[in-house]
Amino acid sequence: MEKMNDKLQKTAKELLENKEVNLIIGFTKGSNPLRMRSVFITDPDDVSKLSFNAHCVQDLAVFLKKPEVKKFGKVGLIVKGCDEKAVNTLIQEYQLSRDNIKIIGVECRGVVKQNLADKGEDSVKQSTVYDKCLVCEVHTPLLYDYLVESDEPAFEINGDIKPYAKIEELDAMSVEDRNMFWQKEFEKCIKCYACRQACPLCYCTRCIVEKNTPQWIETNIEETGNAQWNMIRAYHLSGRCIGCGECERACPVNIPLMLVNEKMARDVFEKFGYKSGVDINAKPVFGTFDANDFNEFIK
Amino acid sequence: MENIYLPKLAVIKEIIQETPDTKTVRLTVDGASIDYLPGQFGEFSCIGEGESTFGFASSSLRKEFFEFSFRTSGRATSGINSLNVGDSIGFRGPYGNFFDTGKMKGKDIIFIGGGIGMAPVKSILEYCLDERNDYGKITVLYGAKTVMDLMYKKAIEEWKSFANTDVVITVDPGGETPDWKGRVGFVPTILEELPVKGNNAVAVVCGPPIMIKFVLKSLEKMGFDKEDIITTLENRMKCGIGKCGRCNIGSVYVCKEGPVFTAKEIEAMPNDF
Amino acid sequence: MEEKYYEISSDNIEKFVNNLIAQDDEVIAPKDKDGDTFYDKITDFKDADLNILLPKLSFKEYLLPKTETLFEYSISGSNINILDPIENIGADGGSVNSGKKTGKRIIFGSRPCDAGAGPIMEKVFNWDYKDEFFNEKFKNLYIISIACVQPDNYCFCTEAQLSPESSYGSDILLKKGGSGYFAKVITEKGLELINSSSENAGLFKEISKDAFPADKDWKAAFDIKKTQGFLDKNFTSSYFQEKFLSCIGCGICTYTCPTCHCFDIQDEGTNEKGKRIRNWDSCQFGIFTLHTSGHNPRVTQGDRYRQRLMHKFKIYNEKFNKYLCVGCGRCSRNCPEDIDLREITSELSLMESSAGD
Repeated sequence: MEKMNDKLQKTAKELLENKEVNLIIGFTKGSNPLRMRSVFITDPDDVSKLSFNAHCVQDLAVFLKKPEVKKFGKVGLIVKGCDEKAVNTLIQEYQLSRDNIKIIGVECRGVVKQNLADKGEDSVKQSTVYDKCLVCEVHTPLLYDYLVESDEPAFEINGDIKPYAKIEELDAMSVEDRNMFWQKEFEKCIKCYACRQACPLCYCTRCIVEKNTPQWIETNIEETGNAQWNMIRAYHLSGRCIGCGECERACPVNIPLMLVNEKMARDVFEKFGYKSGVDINAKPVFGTFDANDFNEFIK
Repeated sequence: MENIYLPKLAVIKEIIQETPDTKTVRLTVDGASIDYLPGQFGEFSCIGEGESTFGFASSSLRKEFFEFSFRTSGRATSGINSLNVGDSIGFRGPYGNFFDTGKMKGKDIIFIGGGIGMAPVKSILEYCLDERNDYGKITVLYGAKTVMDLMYKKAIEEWKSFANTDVVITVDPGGETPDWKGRVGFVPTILEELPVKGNNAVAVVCGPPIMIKFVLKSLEKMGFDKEDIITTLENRMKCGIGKCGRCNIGSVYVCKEGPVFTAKEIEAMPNDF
Repeated sequence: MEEKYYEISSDNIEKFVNNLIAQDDEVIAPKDKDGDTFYDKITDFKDADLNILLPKLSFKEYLLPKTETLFEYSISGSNINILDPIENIGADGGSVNSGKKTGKRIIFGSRPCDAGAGPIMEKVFNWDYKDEFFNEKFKNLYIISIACVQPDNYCFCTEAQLSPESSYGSDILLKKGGSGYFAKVITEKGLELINSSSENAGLFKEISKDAFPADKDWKAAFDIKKTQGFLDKNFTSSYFQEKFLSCIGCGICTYTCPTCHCFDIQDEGTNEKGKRIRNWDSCQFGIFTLHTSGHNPRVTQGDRYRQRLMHKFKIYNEKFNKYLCVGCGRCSRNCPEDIDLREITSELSLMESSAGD
């Protein structure tokens, strides 16, 4: 990791010194050796704080929506391949100008699940990384201004792995059973909105849940309000979610939100041949009309 | 055991459409007004749509009804807006502190209100007018964005009819109409042009936070003592009784220690409002 | 009451808890759920997971439910009927329709930090106006805590004026040792549990105060009064704006906090019938203090996290002479961005002598 960190720090320092950016958002050591956290650097002399390892779980693109960060103007952002897709989507959706961001891509070999790291897990293996890492197609980010190559080997994948295996299981269930499954999951929800806040693509200045004329989503933190909130958020992310998994990681009550998002992404790909976050010049799938779309009613 | 969140039902006696988006509602409980004092507030609700916080807008000396004014903006106020005379409104209160009328007796008073912030000013103003002889010269300065946004048109005429009482109405520059006969200018600007002095006088101010900030400066320039400038602050509230945790300015809970504060008290607060 | 001391074997504590369950008392304990531990109802002692430090969420919802009915209404024409649930509220979450009246609810295997939260919240719900929704649940909540042996790096109960062995807020405090546990009974409620049947009373062997293991000499790593000292005079400090650039503004810290108690009030239902409810709310949400006019006193996340710090370590203390924090560290452990309250309060305590506003 030493070489990586050197290059990261060197790149950041140059960007700040040459005034190409006013702020670098990257990773630094966190509250314990197996936790990393974001760091906001404006002074070139502070770049030594930057580092990267398999505990850099956060998607730092989330900060691009913060008004406090937007005030800095040009920003240099350190991103893994999965997180970088969020940057692409923000550009696609006119939330971010390509000119205002320098993408410092890091080659990522997978990140360790935080709940395991919190129990002491430090190794990158098939059994310790997130499901998104098992199906990752973007170990090298799709778009970057600078690339920091990894000096770690890729982890080995043995046998027949099935990431998000629960999706097939749910697909095979009856509607009633599937409904029951989600009802039980959403029952746990405490409406802390960490899923929304941790999402780099939930950037509405006033979320639909905060609108009350009319009251779209019931305010109760019970069966009805929770189901409405979680389902409506899922729909707002369909065709947009880039699969960084931050909602699920942030959720304090362990609702498997990625099952919804991944299922939605599979459906969108199957029906529209569209993958989100891969091309900044592509039109958002639900922001365009195509006469070849499968629905008859729209023609 | 008492349920502190349980509203009484108050009956709507009269609704006054003040401006296109504001109304004043006159209410009774058991056919009469309730006990309260100017400056206090209540939680008013359209049952089924939600509760909102409003200061009383009427003189508590008038026993036939009590009133509040509101602007329709969210779900609760849309609900209240849909109600008619004879319908019931949920009411909890009165809550909070009130204007110290004892301190105001025998003094000149200038009442300054901006926009819908005139509502609590109207309450204490009309209270003083109801006992007109207890006070010195009364000046009223009321400003709104545009002529169309001026509330209390009927009440204003009534205020003007009192002896030794000046009523100055102003609208923001650009908010006047061709036939507008009142003043044009922001409240702090007009205030400094008025023949009002700070000795043996009290100023009562209520309006948007930005207006209050500038008016306080003007009043100090005019010689008002910070303890003789009284204002009401209205931070967002839900419970009104010190539990829900959102109206505090630093350590001061507006719902319990306010909403009436002197400029001196406000000066000691952090900039959290 | 005067504290009483007992010894009880591991087998007998199991019997005791199972007897409480059999007595139809609702027993809540740390319980494994998908690899994490949460407070939940147990139907057998073996359901309880006592090997972990702390459940992921506190048991706050048993005092202040996520959603609680304040009253129900029905409307026909201009006729409104309001149904006050206050006479029917009980331990089971204040539900009007549950039919279960003021049953005991017992938290078994709570930690001293969580136990301390009840009396801290109780002050807020009873200054001036008395909140009987809270009071009824608090009155019916019986707390059996187990002292901690080894706090983790996020814990700071000692700094927050409690300790890993504090009995503040507990009815019975257990300490591991002897043939199983030593028990300190602090309240009449605790005694009531032990004497709830002759069989239960027989499981406990009374001992002298001297035979009860003394608390370790827990040392605070920093002085929380200095943290308050900093907050007293540094409202405008740039620390808040810089530090909380990394805060994404979710409600996790407040919702997993045992003492955060802010709520929202909303109506739900149809034109004919429905209810007014209160829901958990968080000072970390931008909309929390947003005025109707569009003005917001707390614009940045720095403003909002500062409010959380102020409320916990200054405002509450000025009113009730205690801190609105038990040092459980949940806000830090659960924060998706690794914002660590222990680290922050410690840092602020060291900055106490800085210039100020």
